[in-house]
Amino acid sequence: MSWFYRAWFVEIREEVVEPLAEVRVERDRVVIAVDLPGASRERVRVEAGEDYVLIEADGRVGGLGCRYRKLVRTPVKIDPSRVRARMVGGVLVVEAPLLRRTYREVKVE
Amino acid sequence: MPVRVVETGAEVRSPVVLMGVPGPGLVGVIAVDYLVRSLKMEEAGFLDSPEFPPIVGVRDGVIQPVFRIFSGEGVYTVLSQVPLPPQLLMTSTAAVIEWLVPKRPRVLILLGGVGGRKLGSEEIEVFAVYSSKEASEFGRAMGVKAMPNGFLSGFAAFLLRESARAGIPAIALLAQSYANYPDPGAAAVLIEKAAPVIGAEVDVGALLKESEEIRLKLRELMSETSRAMAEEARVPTYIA
Repeated sequence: MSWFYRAWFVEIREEVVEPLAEVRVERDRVVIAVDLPGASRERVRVEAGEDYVLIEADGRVGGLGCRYRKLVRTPVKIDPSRVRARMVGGVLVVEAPLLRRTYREVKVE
Repeated sequence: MPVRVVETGAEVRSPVVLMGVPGPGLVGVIAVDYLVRSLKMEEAGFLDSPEFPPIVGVRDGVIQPVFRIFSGEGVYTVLSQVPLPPQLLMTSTAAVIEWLVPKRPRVLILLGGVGGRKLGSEEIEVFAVYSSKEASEFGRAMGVKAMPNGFLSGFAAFLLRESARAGIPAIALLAQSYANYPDPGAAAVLIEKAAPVIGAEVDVGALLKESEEIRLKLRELMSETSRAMAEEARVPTYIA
């Protein structure tokens, strides 16, 4: 590792790190993607409420243990009972269906 | 906004020049940083401006510039380690091009990402846009696809246009990458594509091996870069 990486890794001594995450609201669901380098599916815990998803994970990066924690407040209410999660190439993808349909078809006159 | 190039190393004549700045997937900076390390390049200079953001590197307690130039094996690399506001990035690039003209570079290659890589996808396409017909000959050597007819906007467009104006053959070599996560995989593909023009054997095995570490350690820079890209829409954007 060069100086470059060390310089940006200023919080190297933090016990828990906040991973990068993207939140996308689609027509009928919220999709949350969280980058979890070094974390395996078995070491990821996802908790969902009507307005949040909490992700916690343990990873192993460069021979060292690493703990992740990310709380995502969803911009719309989701149905926690139908939330699904999967790991894709080291990224956790959480799909959370909306609690209620918030749209209707509009007739064009 | 004055930006000056301060040369601190021996001059390289007719160099191949590789440039990386923070952008989608940090592909350019990861690729250029790896090349600096694996080719054991020496510091050759830096860019300086009173307008640069108030951030410096610190190494063994001493400040370091964040927009640096390295050289080795007939190659210059130009690497910005912080996202700069668009106008300042363009002024800096213009200063680099002006500095390069008397050295008569063989080619200037911008390494970067364009986003659009699907999560988990192993297929990473690399596209090239050239400043001139002469530059496109290098693309043939690299075996990369030229972008079809359309429009390119953003920093890559500026670099190609200014290079053409200065008579330097230039290529924007852009890999499909994750937009908002550091993408060492896309950087490795870019390096492999650029290798024939660099003229040196570069083994990307070590880069792939440390990819998780890079993803973890660069998340802060990625986060700042994503914010800058969202605010200023300076991502290379291609419209077919």
